Parts: sequence; C-alpha cells; structure tokens
Amino acid sequence: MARYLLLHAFPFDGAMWDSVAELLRAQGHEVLTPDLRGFGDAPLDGRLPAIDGMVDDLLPLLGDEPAVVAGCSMGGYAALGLATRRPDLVAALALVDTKATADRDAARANRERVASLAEGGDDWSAGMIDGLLGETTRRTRPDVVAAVERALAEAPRATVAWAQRAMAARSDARATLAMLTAPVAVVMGEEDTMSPLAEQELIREVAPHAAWVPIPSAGHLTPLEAPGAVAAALLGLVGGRGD
Amino acid sequence: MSFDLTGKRALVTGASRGIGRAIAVAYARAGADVALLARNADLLTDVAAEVEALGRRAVVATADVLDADVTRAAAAGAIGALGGLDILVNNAGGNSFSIPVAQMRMSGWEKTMRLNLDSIVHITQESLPALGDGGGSIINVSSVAGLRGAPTMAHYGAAKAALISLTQSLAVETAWMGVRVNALVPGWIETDLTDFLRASDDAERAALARVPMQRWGRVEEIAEPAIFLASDASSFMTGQVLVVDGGLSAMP
Repeated sequence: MARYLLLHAFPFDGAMWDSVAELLRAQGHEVLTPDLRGFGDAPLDGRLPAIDGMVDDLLPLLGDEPAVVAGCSMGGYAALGLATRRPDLVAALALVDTKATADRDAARANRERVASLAEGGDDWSAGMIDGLLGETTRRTRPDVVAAVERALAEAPRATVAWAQRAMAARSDARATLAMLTAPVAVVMGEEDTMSPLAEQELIREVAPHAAWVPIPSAGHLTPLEAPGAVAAALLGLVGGRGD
Repeated sequence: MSFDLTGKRALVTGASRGIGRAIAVAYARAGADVALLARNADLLTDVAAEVEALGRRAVVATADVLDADVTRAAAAGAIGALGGLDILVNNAGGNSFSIPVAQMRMSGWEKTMRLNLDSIVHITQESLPALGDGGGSIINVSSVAGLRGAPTMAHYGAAKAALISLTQSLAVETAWMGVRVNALVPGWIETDLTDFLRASDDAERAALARVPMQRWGRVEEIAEPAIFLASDASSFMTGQVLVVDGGLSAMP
C-alpha cells in the first residue's frame, strides 16, 4: 500500500482533497492532506513569503518515509519545492493543474495587485471563480461552485497576501523535474484556463516520460471538480493493486 | 419513472472499457452514483470524469479479478466509499484464446474459469450484505457463447453457461433478502473483445451472416437493458436470462 501526500491549491486548505483522500483510503492507502502555511489551521508565523516556507512545514510531517506527492496549482509549487529539497522523499509526483515555470512579469505584477487588494480590505477575488472552475462545472455543479465561493470569501486576508507574494517569488522548477528519477504524472483539467496546455507541454519537455492525464469536463480545480478521475490518476501513478 | 436510478449506488466491474464502461455511464445518466472497478486505474480516469460531469459520484477501485484477496478488498472498499450498494454488475470477464478441448492446456481452462466465474462468486459474496440492506439487483453479464456449444471456445462458453446457472441459484437463494439476480446475455457487440472478428471482410461477413439484424450491436444497446434490470422497471423479475443479440440465438 502506498502513502500519499496531497497538497492543496490557493486559497483552500487540506480539506480540498477530502473526496480524493476518501477514495484512496477506501483502496487501503495512507493519505496525508496537510493545511499549507497560513491556510486552514496552519499559522503564518510572520516569516517572509516563500514556497520554501511551506516545504519547511512538510518535512517533519513526512519524516524519512517517502510518499507519492500530488500538488494542485499552488500545491504543485510546494510539491516541486519539496522535490527540489528532498527528491528522496518523493516516491512519485503528480502535478495537478499546475506549472513548473516561474511567473512572468505580468503575472507577478497581478499577484502583487491581488495581495494589495487583500491587505487593503478590498475585493481581491472578483471574477476569480471563472478561472478556477471549468465551464462544465460552473454550468452543472452548483455544490462545487458554492464551495469555491465560500473558500474565496473566507480566506484570511493576511494569508492571501502572503501566498500571492510567495507564488510570485517562486523559482523555475524545470531543472528539478529534469533530474527527478521518480515517476511523474501531468494531470490537467481540459477546461483549465489558468494552467493552460502550453504550460503542461513545458513540463513534458523536461520530463518526457511523464504520464499525460487530461481530465475531460474539468477546469483548474480537478480534485474538487472530478475527484474520482483524479483518484484514478493517482492510483495509476503507482500501479493498480492488480499489478 | 420506472427506469430511474436516482439515489441508487452501483458497482460495475470491468468498467474501464466496452460494455462495462457503457453501463457505468448509462447508470450515472439515469441518476446513480457508480463505483468503477478495473485492473488498470489509468483507464478509469476518463470514465470517472464522464460520470462526474453528469453530476454523479464516481468511486474508483483497482483489482485484477484473478486475484481473489485483492478483488474482495477492492470491492469492499468501493462499497464503503459509496456508502452502501443497490446494484452490482458483474461484467468483468473475457477470453484471449481459441483451441479445441482435445488440445487445451488445463492452465488455460482454469484461468478462464477464475476470470469469468470464480471472480463473480468473490465479488457477489462481498456485496450481498450491502445489497440485502434495503434490497438490490445483481446483473451477471454472460454471453451467447454460454447458450449453446462454443466450438474452440468451450472454456469460455462453459464459464458463461455456468454463470447463467449461478444466476438462477443465487436468485432463489437471495429472493427473501429482496435481492433480484438476472443474467444479461449480449450477442456480438462492437468492442475490443470482438475486434478479431472484424480483422477481415470475410471474417466479418461470416460472423454477421448468423445475425438476423445483420449488424454489430452497440455497447449502448446493452447498457439500456442493463438499466431495465437494475431499476424498478423489472421489479418482479429474478433468475431470468435477458438475451440481447439482434436475433442471433433465434436462428434455426
């Protein structure tokens, strides 16, 4: 049986993975779904914004036992950060609706804009849900839409600003991917406009053996939109029980 | 709405492709949450996404049904994740070789029986407690190969014929629990399993010459009768054999 470490997207917490985790546990696997720094029950601790700070928190949780690591969006940046620091702890890596490149200038400026809006008490998340959820989900899944709206409304403003700046400061992780010997899967919603296909192709350039797992009818938050499909991808990453 | 499956929970084995996949998606469209069991998890991604795009839950479970312990654990886990079970479709099965009985190695015979018959006993035993809780329906997917002789495929035909007898025995044994058990018997359906019959025009012509409707069945044409057997539309039907074969078995 495998051990999974599932890292959540912005601005959610570990509970984002609950549906996927339930399916993996039902098949006998161990699953960890920590809250990343500043989200859920995890404190910010006043340190400078950096994805590496999230990785600091993950290391004691993992100990010396490797895990199959999956990260969605921001969680993918943390997963790549972990793979950079401790590749020996990554038994396999699933990059879910995420990127391996650093932000370009325009994206970095937009993150600073969102951080300032959040700090200033203004509406920082206007229109964001259209990018987070696929067109199919927005049309047919009012429960998922409501859950995302709630997460956007309830995210602590200090955390929003911290995490936006941490993501803006992240480095390009393609060198890590090129050197990683563990199996890699690229999982993406086919309706994802935030981590578009071109970004996934950049991952495949440096990790040509990565499994390619497009998920139809889902957007940027596949663990919420299509948990069964994501669970199947994660089960497939380490081989089914029958193998 | 007798053909409605709203609120029902179904476990479909062999759900990654062909008839199993079509049944799983049709059940979701009819309103059921569906657990998908297959050997290869990668192939379940698309089916699960299709079920979820319909607004239903997809549970995924991986097991090679030749491995009894793994199959039992996977089925039990899937039923737990579904929160109960109303419908079980024993669809996983297949055949990969043709040979006359006189030349057959017993290892091939035994593997065919384990794949098409033993696996169904394992999964049914794991499922019956949950199915008995509130009543349910078991659908065993047999084959026209099990209705008569199946020269050079006696192993497969015998397993599928035994599955029909198993269906009838189970129907009698479980009627008191409110569980109905029926066999669904597809004829020649266009799936991976029948690809070899379309390998040449001659082979295809010879195959279809025995089908009065003169064409291959589509997987959807098995999925719709599978909704009938799962739903209240067949509420007084148990221990029966529903043949869906374009008239093949009616030929003299």
